[in-house]
Amino acid sequence: MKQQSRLRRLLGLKEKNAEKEINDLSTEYPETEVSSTSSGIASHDSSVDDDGFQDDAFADVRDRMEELSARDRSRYASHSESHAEEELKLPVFAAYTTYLGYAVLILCGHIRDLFANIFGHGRYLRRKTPYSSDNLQVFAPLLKSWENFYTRRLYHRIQDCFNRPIASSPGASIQVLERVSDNGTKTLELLGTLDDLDSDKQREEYEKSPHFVKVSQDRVARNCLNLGSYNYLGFADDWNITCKDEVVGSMEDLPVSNSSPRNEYGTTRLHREVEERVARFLGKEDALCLNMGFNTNCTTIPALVHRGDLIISDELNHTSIVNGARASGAAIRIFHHNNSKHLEDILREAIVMGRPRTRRPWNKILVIVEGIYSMEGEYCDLANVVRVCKKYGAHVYLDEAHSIGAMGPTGRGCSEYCGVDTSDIDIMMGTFTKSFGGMGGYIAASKDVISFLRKSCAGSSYHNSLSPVVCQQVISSFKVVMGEDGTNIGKQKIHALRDNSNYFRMRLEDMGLHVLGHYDSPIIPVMLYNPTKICSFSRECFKRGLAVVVVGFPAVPIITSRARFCISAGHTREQLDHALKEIEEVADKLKLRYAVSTFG
Amino acid sequence: MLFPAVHELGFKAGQTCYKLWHNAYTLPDVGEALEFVKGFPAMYSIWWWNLVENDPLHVAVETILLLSIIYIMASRSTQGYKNGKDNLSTKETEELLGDWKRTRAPLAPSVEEDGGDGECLIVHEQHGKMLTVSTVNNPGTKTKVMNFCNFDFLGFQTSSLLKKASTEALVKYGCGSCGPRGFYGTIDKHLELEDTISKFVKTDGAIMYSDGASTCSSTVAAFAKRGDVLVVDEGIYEPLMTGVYLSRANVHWFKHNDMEDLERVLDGLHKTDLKLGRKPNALRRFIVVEGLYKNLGTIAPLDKIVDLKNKYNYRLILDESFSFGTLGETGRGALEHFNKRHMYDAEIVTIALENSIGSVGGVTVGNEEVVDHQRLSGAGYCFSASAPPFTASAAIAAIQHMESNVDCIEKLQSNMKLMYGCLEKTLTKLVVTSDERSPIVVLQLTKESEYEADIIKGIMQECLSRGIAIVSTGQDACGHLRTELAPALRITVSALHTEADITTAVDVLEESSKAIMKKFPHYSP
Repeated sequence: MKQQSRLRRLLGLKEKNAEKEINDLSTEYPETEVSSTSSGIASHDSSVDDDGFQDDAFADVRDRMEELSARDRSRYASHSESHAEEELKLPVFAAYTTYLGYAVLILCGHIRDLFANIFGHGRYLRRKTPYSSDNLQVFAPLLKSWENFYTRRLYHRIQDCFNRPIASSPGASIQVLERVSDNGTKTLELLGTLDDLDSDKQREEYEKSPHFVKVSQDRVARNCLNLGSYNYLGFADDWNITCKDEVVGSMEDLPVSNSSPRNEYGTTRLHREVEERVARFLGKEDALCLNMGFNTNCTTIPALVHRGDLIISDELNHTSIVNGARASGAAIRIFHHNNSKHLEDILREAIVMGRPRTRRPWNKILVIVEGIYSMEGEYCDLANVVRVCKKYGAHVYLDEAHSIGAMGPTGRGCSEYCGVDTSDIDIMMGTFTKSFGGMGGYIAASKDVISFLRKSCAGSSYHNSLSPVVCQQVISSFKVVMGEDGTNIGKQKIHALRDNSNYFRMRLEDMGLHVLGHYDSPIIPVMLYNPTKICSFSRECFKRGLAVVVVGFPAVPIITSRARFCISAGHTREQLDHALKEIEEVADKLKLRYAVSTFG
Repeated sequence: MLFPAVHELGFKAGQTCYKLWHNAYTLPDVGEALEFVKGFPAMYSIWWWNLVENDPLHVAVETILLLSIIYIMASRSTQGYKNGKDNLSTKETEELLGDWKRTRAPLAPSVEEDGGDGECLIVHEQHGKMLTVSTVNNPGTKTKVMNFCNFDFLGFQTSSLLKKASTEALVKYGCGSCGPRGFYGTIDKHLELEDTISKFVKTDGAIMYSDGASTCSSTVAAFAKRGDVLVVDEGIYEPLMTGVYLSRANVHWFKHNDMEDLERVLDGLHKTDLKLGRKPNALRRFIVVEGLYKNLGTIAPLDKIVDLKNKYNYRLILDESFSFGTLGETGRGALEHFNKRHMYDAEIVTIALENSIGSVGGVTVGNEEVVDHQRLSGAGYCFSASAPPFTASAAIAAIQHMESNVDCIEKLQSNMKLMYGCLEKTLTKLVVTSDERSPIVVLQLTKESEYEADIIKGIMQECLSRGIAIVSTGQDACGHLRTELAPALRITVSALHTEADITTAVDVLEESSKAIMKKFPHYSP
């Protein structure tokens, strides 16, 4: 209780709520009736009005949002012993139907294959090609059979839910180009103009749709609310105001791309400025920026650890970390997701036992965690991870790809949010793609480490350096976030992101959906389970003008397919309410309310 | 006699077991079975004493053997370090933990030990072929130097064409794409680029990655999996090497550009197959080469490689990152240079858009199967944010320019000719090791020595101070490559250079190498 009241003070919550039991609050507050007109009411007792914001769009639900956020924070980001996680129970009904669904899909796929072979007629039947490598008498097929089967018979059927091309900046509302397929979504073509449609009836159908728009060259597109892009701070929305002049101006003196690695002639004055700014932002001695976020992990981990070292990695870490760890040649151990107790067990055992067979002590041990896990929406139990690592002398590598800019009162990421001093984190990695609307990634660490990496990391000594244009984008967006542009836009963005995501999460939970993740995280996954619901959810939402992301196998385990919402500071309360209304309808239609009933 | 007795007993035991088993299913006469079981110990002891009497030696030896086995098994369980069950006390564990914490290695060597940054130059401005650079330590003093260092072969880097295209795309789409291709990060410009480039090189399709290096590594790892066979040239550069490593396939190396060695490797593998009775289509097999080798400036003899690949039924993974835009009459790369075709002669081709094209990112081109497979399996495609749309836009502009106007490629090729001519005439201290059709000119010292790296670096710095920017390579290439590179100088020829530029550059190079070598009296070329 003491700790909770401390947290309360930290968050600036009102005293009158201080006595209430935080953990039970969600049941005490009735579901708030929200209408789309209730936004924009000035509220002076809201917790953020001392920052000079006149309009608190969430005044009516402010208290409850803050309570829920504080509840999660005290549970998952506290300095106390790690909290036993209350995991969402997988409904038995959903599990059975999911397995059944996949069984039916696989069976049908095989039956289709069989018939195609018998009758010699099918979409996926191997055509005769002039290429020598297609002679399967002497060449092994290029694709392995299961992978190929999965792609053909499962993925291709719902291909229209992925890779949707857009014709606008990835802001809060996007124009998604319509695609058509004449072979049962095996391949999808851009529709182009309305004239490409076969019948007037179809044409009418498109034109009547409330989301119908025409983009450049009269191409047919659908105007959608974007709930999928990692545009956390909304720089894609107001790019023309916040970044345009400087970014376009950077091309006056510098090229579009350097065509040279950092160590040769790929370092421009802008690279240095980005690095200096990142280091200052995070309170580290120095930083290094590289061309691609994915490659930042892939190249720095092999540079830092080698054979004779040990990597201890969270089981849900991103593929780039996995690739980097594999390329490094170091031994790899996996600990249970966000479980610092298990991490401690593994660390102790690893240190005591030493390397396998030779029993020599490890040279160094690197513990790799992420700030926010992109498929779970959970933030890292950083305080405990750091405590454990400090206790045993392991180095900490924190990947803040999703959390930098998106978490903490000033956007400094997971470490700020969890109250961990950045000097305790040896290596802080992050990307510019998400919150900062750019590209590439950075490593912030001590002078020694950065100087070593500049020389020995492949990304810095061999790969093309970050484009100067993108460097300028990063500098401009950092200026806004750090408030150095003379406005409080950055601050507003960070607050808006937090409010938007908490509000959205709260309402989704109220709806009785199975929502993963923690409050204050802008990633909100909702469980769908069944394979058929993956596509129907996406299609239903798309029909209603919502661009949502759905994720299935192999990105997540086969049984836990989910929809993932990424909230942006660019969203308004009206947009969110509209989206929630539509999602509620879809949830009813698809029976997704697993928190209310086992049958959804 | 011993053996009949033993045999008889065995037979009896078998019969007993059969009876017991049989009776268990036919509701046995309990009394009979019980009687039999009762008689068993007596029978056993008779058999045992019989054995001791008839063959005491046998019994003694077997007893000793049995005892020693028990002893070994028992003693093993106490030796913890062999089976991983140390019974350490808490104090011992704490000591070990404390010891390790004190003696663990630092994450990186300290700056003083390590000798400072790898980077030494900052580019302040770049206009065409002129760069304004300064050193890191002294950013105030800027000097203007001529670009013989960037892979800006066709001069697109700072061309107004690319800048105009980029600006237009920036204004329309903003900067970043804020998401991977799968999740609303596919912007129509990406599709347009894929379309443009696949039409340009005449393939079924193309797939765009957001970084040139990850194009190679993701593509190799997407197709070659554990158990497959990769036959790889030893001279490949780092991204391909990473791909080869990540694929976990069985890797066989052949000497750089040595076709006899390649044939030897392929033949050896073929013989292994015959020996194991493996069918030719049992494994996926790939040959991995670069069209133009970045590190060495040599060109892969694709005509011979294609012959060998057809003979032994291999697929070819070809990296055209540096050959695209520089080789072939219209700049379509090494395949055009050797009159070979995409998809027929090289199944999988990766092209970085960062060199000739002067943009960011890379593409893999090939047939439909090759391209579509990567959309789910290319790690750098699936799990990374897509390239900012302005880079795609710039690349489209560059490719369209290349298509409509081959002047720049002709100019580059005539510049190359001139460069190699001048080098041959003028140079006395250095020797050209690159192919004379390669715009990446690699120069080495005529004699190996311990001062090699210092001399090379010295020449580079001297040239820089005289206004010619070239690159010295080979100092910090450790660990990422198959073969260690000899220290070398790298000069990049560009279409922007004039004849005067090239002759001046060669003269400067000769003068600086003379000047530097004076400082190393022990080195005599």
